[in-house]
Amino acid sequence: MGSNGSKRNWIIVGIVTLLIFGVYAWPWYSFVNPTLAGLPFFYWWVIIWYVISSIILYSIVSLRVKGGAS
Amino acid sequence: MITTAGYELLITFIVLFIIFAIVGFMGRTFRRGDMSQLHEWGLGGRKLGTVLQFFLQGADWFTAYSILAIPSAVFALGAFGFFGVTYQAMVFTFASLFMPRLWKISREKGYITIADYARGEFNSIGLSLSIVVLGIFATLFYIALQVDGLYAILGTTLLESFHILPTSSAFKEYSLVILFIAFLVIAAFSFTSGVRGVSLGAIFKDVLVWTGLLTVIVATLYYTHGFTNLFSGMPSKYLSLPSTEALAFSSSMLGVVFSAYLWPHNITGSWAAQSEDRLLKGYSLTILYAIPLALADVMAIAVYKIPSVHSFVFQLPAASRGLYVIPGLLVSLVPPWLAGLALLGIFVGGLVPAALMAVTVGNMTGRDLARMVKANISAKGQTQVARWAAVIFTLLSLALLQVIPMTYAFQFYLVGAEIILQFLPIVVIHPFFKFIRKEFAIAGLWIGTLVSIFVTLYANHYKVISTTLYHDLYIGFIGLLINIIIVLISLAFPKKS
Repeated sequence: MGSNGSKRNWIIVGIVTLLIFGVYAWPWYSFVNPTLAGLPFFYWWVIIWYVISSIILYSIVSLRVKGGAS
Repeated sequence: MITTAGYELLITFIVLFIIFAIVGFMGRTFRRGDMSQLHEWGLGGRKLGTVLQFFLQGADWFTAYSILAIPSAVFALGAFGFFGVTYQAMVFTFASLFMPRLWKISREKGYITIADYARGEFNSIGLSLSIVVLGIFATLFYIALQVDGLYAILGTTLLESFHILPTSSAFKEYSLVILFIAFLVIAAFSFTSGVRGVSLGAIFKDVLVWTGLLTVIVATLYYTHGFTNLFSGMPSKYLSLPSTEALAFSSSMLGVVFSAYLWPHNITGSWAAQSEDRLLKGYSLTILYAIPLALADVMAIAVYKIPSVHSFVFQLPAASRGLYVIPGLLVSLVPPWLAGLALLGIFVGGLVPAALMAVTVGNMTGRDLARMVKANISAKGQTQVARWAAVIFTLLSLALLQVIPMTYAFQFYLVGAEIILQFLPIVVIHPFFKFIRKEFAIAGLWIGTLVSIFVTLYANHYKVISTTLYHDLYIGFIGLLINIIIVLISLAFPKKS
């Protein structure tokens, strides 16, 4: 930690973490409509966010490693 | 009498198992290193890149038990059972938060296990020993849980090829022999190839499991004509989570999220990464593994919709029926050779994590216990101890299963996860905020553990353990709260430095 750059990068890591926990941690997404190809919202919301979470986490990797936030 | 279809399934199963064993042994020559050194045997020389990390983490975390037990929960409970896959992205987000720091410390100081890390960072043999004891205890029952899944796969295979019912005494005899052979293979290739063998085995297993899961999904959607039909007429608890179950759903998820990457074998797998970059990329990609898994969980509902699957699953006793949901979909809906391939994939899915756990226990024994007994043990000596410990541990866990009935193994596992959660202050907090004193670390670990066990017994009215929730709250968190309070007392005694 220490330098301003790494501090900023740690804030980004924090925001990403809070976002993904906000999406999943409490089942506020537990309803049926809108369905996707017949799949209730509850299920497709969870599945679609795997892809989004994966992309976000992957995209901040180099920022973390080079920017001293790991 | 064997049927043609059964014959096809059986041959595929056996041939692929032999290939799996060969692949595992080949690990020895894979990116060759000096196997007499513990970090080469036990961490694959810390050389695993993104792709191997993806396969190792995937194979290690998405086990036979999760492939069979979560569909089983959805089949029986509806949307609530889906908690077992909903937490996946959070698991890897949380692991990404602290593991790179831990990886860096382990690399700089040459730590092989978290017991090793605890001894070095806290300068405490007591803490290190506590972690070895609690870690091995919890891990033993984690393996036992895998074997539950292995039995379901063997049950399906023997039922399909020889019409031997999983409830018969013949099944008991055959499955014991088969499991003994399978565990010998695992012990042998852990011994010779260490983490290298495990990661090659993991690639093989993951390819088969992905194929199997995708086959189940496509075949089920084909037979049910899409999700709309699959869900039509199902009780509402299958369509979404009843609001009364929200707290239990959330706290069950978070219990897993915070303890997942505290398991010693998961830490071993992570420390085998080549760099922080590879580790984090591996983690983020592993989340994608949850997609076919989640869809396969949804397909569990098809048991109620497809008559052939229904009759397969419902011929089995109610208590074990759930684990036969995915195998039932496979043998009823896809060609026998493809079913055999997928079943073997799931079978190996229980063996690969068992092998990694064996290597981890080997690491802990060779590094930590051996040095306590003989302070000046050589690097070669440590590796020898580690290899034999891995073999003994594998065989011990199989023997234990014959002694302890499966239902109890599951309960020990529930308690095991609560214990593992108590490692959090040492593993997650310490690398960032170095204020914890060793006395309070040890006290927090043990008191947190004992409180969790006591509350678990209390919540189950001192009878057979069937839940780790107390008023819908995951009991491990009660222990963890007390653990953290104890650890915080360290702040009252500033370090002299």
